[in-house]
Amino acid sequence: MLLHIALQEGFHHDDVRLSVDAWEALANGDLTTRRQTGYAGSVNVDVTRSPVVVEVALSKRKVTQSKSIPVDRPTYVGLSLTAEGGLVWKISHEPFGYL
Amino acid sequence: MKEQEHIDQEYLVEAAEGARSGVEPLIPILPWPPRVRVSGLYVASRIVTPPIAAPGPLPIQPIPLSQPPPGIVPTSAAPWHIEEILPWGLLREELRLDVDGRYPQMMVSGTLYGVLAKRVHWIARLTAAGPNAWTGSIWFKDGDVAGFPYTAVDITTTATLLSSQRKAVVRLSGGGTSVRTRTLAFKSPYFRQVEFEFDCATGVTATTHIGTHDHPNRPATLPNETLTIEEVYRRVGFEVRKSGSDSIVPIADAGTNARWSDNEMHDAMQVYWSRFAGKAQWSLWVFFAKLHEQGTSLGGIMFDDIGPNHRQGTAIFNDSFISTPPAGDAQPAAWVERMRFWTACHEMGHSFNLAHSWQKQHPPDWGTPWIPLANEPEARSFMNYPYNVSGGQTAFFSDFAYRFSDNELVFMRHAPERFVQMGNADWFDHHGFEQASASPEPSLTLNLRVDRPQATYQFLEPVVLELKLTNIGRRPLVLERELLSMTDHMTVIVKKRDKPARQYLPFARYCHDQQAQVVMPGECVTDSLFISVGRNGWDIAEPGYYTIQIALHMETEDIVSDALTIRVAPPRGYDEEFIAQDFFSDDVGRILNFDGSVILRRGNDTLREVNDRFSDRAVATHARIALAAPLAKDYKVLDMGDRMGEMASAKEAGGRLRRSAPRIEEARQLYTSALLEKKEQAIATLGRTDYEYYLGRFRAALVEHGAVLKKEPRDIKRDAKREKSGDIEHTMRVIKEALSSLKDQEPVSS
Repeated sequence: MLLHIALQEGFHHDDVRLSVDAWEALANGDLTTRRQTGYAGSVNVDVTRSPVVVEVALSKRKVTQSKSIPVDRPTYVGLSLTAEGGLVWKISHEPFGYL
Repeated sequence: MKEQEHIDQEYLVEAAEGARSGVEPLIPILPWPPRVRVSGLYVASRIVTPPIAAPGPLPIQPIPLSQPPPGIVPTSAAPWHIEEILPWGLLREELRLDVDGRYPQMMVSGTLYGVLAKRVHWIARLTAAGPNAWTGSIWFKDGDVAGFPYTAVDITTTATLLSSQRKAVVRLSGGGTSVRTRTLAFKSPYFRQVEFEFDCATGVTATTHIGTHDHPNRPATLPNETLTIEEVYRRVGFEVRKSGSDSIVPIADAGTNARWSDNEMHDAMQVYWSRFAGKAQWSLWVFFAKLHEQGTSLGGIMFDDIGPNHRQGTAIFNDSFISTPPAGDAQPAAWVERMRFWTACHEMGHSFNLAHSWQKQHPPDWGTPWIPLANEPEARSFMNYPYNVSGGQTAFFSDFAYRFSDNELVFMRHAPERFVQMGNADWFDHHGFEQASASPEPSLTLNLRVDRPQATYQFLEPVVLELKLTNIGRRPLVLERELLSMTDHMTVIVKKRDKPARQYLPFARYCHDQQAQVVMPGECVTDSLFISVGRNGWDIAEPGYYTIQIALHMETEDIVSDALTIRVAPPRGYDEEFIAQDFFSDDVGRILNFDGSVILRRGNDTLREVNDRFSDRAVATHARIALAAPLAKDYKVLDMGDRMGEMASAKEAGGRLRRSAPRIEEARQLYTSALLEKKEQAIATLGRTDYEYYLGRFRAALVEHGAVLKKEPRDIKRDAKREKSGDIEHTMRVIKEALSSLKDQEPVSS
């Protein structure tokens, strides 16, 4: 089943590591949001069980969070950083669009 | 004639909109007498032949308006005097009056263009003061503001149907100077001009107009019309023209995969855009294609953040998600057309330097945070994502009037041209633009100064500013004693020419005891600001021009300084270029900022090299001070043994405080060389405030280590007064006396 994880607003030269059930799905040492689209990067993972634990680690900000996410149908996870540096998770069953 | 036609159309639209609130009458009810729209651009200009010797503005006798010219009907009773020509040095003056017509913002902005590219831009918020009169406070200034002290504006327009005779009388006042009155002639109902070119990839159709009632989900009051992209931007206030060269871009230009990368689009823009030029211009290329290389998730992009002239090109992707209507939509074809049209207007908005509605507030490292806007996550604006608001795109379009938010309109209509114009300020640079809470009648003025005739700095030379806060009111003010050294009360912006502005973030913030001081009218308080380097790294390093401006945030108002432009000269030779790699480091920045360190050894090595190899350069003075300060006193160092640099507590690492003994003779030599041998050069590079401070530290170090100051009791009070008043000559005499007393003693050991 498709699990799409998008890194969206607020990233600025961030060192990002994403893992799904402890498997490293994305590692980027210098990730920056393109502000005209609000998009920084994404990864598609084919998962075979539900729920899965998605963990995101932002080493420069010393932020690590994980969340259990049901993936019983195509699932889209958006991760954004607030102006204060907080991590916001958005879970959808529709693909994200950027403009 | 064309302008008059437009005004008539606008008048009919306004009248029709006015009649729409409620049940629409069978026969349109138009107001009578008809209102004449006065919003738009007013100008005054002259051809200037500069005089051979121009000591200053030539005195121009104001002309009393005893007999108004034909067709001009001043509506204010005030006995204003009108100058019919501009003063010497002023080439052109513009006024954008925004009080009626589409989405009036009750604002006025003015731009004064002078000789030698001097320019002042100001903006005021208005309230009505009569049938054709407005009054307001100036809340924004930009450019050469030193000669523009005004804080208030009054405007009176003429009431005539003939646009050729329409005029605005502008009266600027406040700021402790005489009133300035000008008459400007109406030029256009638009505030600015812009030109669009729409090009398509092969097989793609551009959606540049829609029927506003084609989709049933819409505001009940939305007029039924065919709306074009050009008309959307006309309603913003632009006189929109087409370049007349819309064309087809062959698909081969996208490469073999038929998807467009940003670079491919940038290349296509250079080839197919009839107006392409490497310069700022009010012209925009809009490209309609099938897909971006990112795939269907990207509906459009302002791709042009490439090269030196950003925001000239934008693209819409017809085969992306914007062409997938929601399941079960009543009019899917109309939904798609509306979404493509909306996307085109949205991406073009980015080219006018508009950010997304939720991006108005952001951390400083994103770009220019000048004076930030509030986010507008629920705005029914072209710059919001329809599917991000509460209730999703259905809720958005049910309440969307095909417009931009008020803040966005103010930005496009009234912000300084360079912030908005395509190819000018970098993308996202200056997009955050809002009023400071500046008082219309400020009681304080903040000036930035440098202690040198011309604000030119040698390469490598750190920049130290002098801040001067003056009470320009009529009453004494009680201010915090350390107000100007409390940088957490300030927003400091450094902008290198042609680069995005940066916010200076000091390495440390200081917490002071709250001690008040009384500043009488006309008196000032001063302090210094070491601005070259902070937590953002070296904000001032490379050769070029930098503009610096500070907003001092007081309890009830913001005091915005004048903008100071400095120049950093190129390196004198290869040696300076070479050492720059070590000098512009975090270590050296911290050592200079904190007046020395015994820990940051690599930084100290660099400063010793600077002192040895560039002893005649200004940077050497800073190096000597930073090297001398820790040598002049007992210096405590936390010794972490072998675990230095590890993330371990001092207790875990067995850390202990170690005393570093003073080396007063080395300190004396360095201080003497820095402060006494070339006094004028030292004052110029350190600034007077810091120079006095370092003299004081030098004297204290000498006394602490055995110097004897021969002083009669009666002199003590007098000397204290002199030192307090910043008598540098006196302090230098004291130091020389102290040095002399040391010579009479045994050599000072370390």
